[in-house]
Amino acid sequence: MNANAPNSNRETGLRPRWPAGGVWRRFALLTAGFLLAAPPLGAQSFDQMKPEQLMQLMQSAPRLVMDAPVAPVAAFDPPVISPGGKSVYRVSLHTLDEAITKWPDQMPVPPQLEFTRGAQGMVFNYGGGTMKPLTVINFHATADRPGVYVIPAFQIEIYGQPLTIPEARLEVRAGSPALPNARELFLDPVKTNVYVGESVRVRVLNPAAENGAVSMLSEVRLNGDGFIAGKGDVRQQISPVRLPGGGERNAFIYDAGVTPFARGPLKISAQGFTSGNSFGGGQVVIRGNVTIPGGPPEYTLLESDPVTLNVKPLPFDGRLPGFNGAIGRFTRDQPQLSAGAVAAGDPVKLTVTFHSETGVIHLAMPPAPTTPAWESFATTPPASGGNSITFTYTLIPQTDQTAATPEIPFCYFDSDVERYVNLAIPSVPIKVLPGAEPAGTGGPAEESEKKPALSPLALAMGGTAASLVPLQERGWFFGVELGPVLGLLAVWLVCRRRQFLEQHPDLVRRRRARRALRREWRALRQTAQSGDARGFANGAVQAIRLACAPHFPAEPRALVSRDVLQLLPETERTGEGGEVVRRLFQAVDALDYAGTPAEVAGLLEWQPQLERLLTRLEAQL
Amino acid sequence: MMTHSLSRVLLILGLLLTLAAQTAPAGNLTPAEQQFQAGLVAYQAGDFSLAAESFRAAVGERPAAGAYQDLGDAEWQQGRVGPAIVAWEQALWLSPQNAAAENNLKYARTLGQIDAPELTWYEVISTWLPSGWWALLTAFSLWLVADLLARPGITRRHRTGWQQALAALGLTLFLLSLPAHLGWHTRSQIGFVLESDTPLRLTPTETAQEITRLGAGEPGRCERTFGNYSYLRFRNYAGWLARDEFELLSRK
Repeated sequence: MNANAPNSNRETGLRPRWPAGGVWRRFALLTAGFLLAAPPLGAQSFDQMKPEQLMQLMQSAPRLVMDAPVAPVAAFDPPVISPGGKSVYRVSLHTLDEAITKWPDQMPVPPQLEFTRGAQGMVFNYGGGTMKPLTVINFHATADRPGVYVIPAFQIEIYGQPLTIPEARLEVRAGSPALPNARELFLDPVKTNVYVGESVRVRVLNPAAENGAVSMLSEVRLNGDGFIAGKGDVRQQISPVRLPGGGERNAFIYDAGVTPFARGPLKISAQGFTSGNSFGGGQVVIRGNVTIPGGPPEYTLLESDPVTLNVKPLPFDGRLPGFNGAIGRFTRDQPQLSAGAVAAGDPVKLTVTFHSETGVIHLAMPPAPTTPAWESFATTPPASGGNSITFTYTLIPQTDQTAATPEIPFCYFDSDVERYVNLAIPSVPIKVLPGAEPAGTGGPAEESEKKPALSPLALAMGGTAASLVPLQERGWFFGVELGPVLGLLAVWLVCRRRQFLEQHPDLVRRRRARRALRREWRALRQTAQSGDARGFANGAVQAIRLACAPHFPAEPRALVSRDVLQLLPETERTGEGGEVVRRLFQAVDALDYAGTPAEVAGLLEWQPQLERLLTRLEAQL
Repeated sequence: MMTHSLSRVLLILGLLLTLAAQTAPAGNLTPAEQQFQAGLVAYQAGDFSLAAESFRAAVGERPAAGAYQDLGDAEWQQGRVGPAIVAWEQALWLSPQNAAAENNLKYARTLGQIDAPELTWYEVISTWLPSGWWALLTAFSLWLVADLLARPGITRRHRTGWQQALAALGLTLFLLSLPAHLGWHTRSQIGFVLESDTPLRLTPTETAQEITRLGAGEPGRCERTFGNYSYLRFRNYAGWLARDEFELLSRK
């Protein structure tokens, strides 16, 4: 903040009154000041200090000035810009940021002035053995039309006490050359397409002024939601950089790691106080010829435009065992054992070092599996330094039947090639000796009896089954169960039929007669074909008797032509059927008793009539 | 007369089928036996991974108690406790009298401090005989009783004393075998966690909250399934596991 700018006003005289509970607040602030002052006193930790050293340290800490005038300052930086240029309306107050209890909802801004809220920050200004809080609030201002724009004085409240912010003026002047815009920071992420959980380096650049003077940054903050900014791996340096607007210039670089934890577009912006020659926050590497301005620190709150990171979720496909969130590119040294041989039950240490190829390593320890043969414990914390981290496992063999340590699964996601890479810690051969025998055990024979061990291999496949599913839960089993049901049903049907036939013997006789008639009929036709008239006559009579016997019932041999004729209808009896019966029976009788073969010679011509007769008789059965 | 003829025909058919079944394997080794022999050779050569693969192929062709026992041994030698316990349990499932598998289970559970499944009284009964035997015993006794009771009535003959005694014996056997069937059914829902450090989920989703982490070989009972997840009840917890994180005894 340039307090001597021509259009800035300064007011003094307000001394804030502390609210109730201020004693505790002062104590907290004193403690903060004490901690801030601690690092230059050496690397000795507090718990290693003696009481008198602690007292000396507290007395040497700069005094926090809380009762100094607030001295509000309001100014445009720069106070003169070209149309469309950018200026920052900056309000500085020598008080804590939490002391501002009221700020106008609507700023008294001229309508032609485009005015938006910017960053807010607080820094402690050291000097003269004291430290004084400074709170700065930025607004972005721009205007297209030339003229003088005035932000009139307005009131705010500090701890409930009214305080007037003085008037500030911005001149927009047309003409060439174009006037410089407000100073700003630049945010330069290494890449903008990242994965959830992936640590990405982000550089905050504070370019040198036009005169080449480089000013440092303090109280740097990365603003935005959905990420974690690493504080432990910040690197600072001054070196030439290529600026987004073109050209190369020396710049102060604040390099920090950002880890997004939410997917989607992620806006990040940076803010920080220029601190002149005040070097704070650790080591600063300087490359090239650099001008560093002297004099007391001069704190100005600068900020950058937001940068968008596209944060993608990690893919589920291809994830390997042992993934614990590691993203980047890693290598691993061969694991080392603290001993080549160990007795069962005694611990041995397994050490393995991982290296990151993408920057400072952030790696959680891969959990060691506990197997029946090995118990494992992680030795915490791991030894980490820069791009390497070393994990140490304590492994205890439970049996002397093992010859190697268990493999420890681990994989990481390589965001460059977008796939998971296996980097499991392999088994390491080791000789495991039998452990000490407990007191009171017997000899080797007794020991082998008591000590449990795996049974020898089965040399035959043993009892087999079609499936492990129980027989009674397979569908076909119930189908097979229908077999006995059907069997019993069949037995029942057969028995019922038999009982029915016992009660109806005529049915049996007719059925047997039908079978005998068909048999005789076939023989009759063969006889007729062979031209044996005698055989034909005998066969025909036998067939007629078989067809008529069940009607009486009688033995077929006992029937004569009269018996057959009475079974025929009246018309048949005197017609063709009766004639056939009479002729055949007469012929057979003649053959049997007179022996006249000449009379049967013409009987073969009667075969069609005989067929018709037998058909009628069969139908009556 | 006719029923006697039918009985004779069935008897002859049964004898022929039995004879055919006994003479069939007398030729070359079946694929399952070939895989089993390959597994034995690999195991004795110290290649436990190949041995496990071969034994697994053998039981895939034809589940057998001895092959499951050796599969468990091969998995154990590779440090895969969960699959080893599952294989030994499946050997006992097929052959409850397999002393070697029982000893191996006892050894593994003692060494790994892993609980054995808690069995109910009817499940204990079901372990006395292989599953198929119980089913055949039940079916035989049921139909014996049905035949002895129904056939004299159908054929209108008197029931003799020995028929009544045999029917009573069959009915007793049938009733006694029913709890064993219930035991087989409930035991078929027992499963074992395959890998150590398996997360037990509160809901059947991949990103579900973890209730606890389970050790390899821990037994649980599958109560229901939802998509690719099954709800299992363990000794102290109940929650969801993915299908590939455990294996049921019956491989249903």
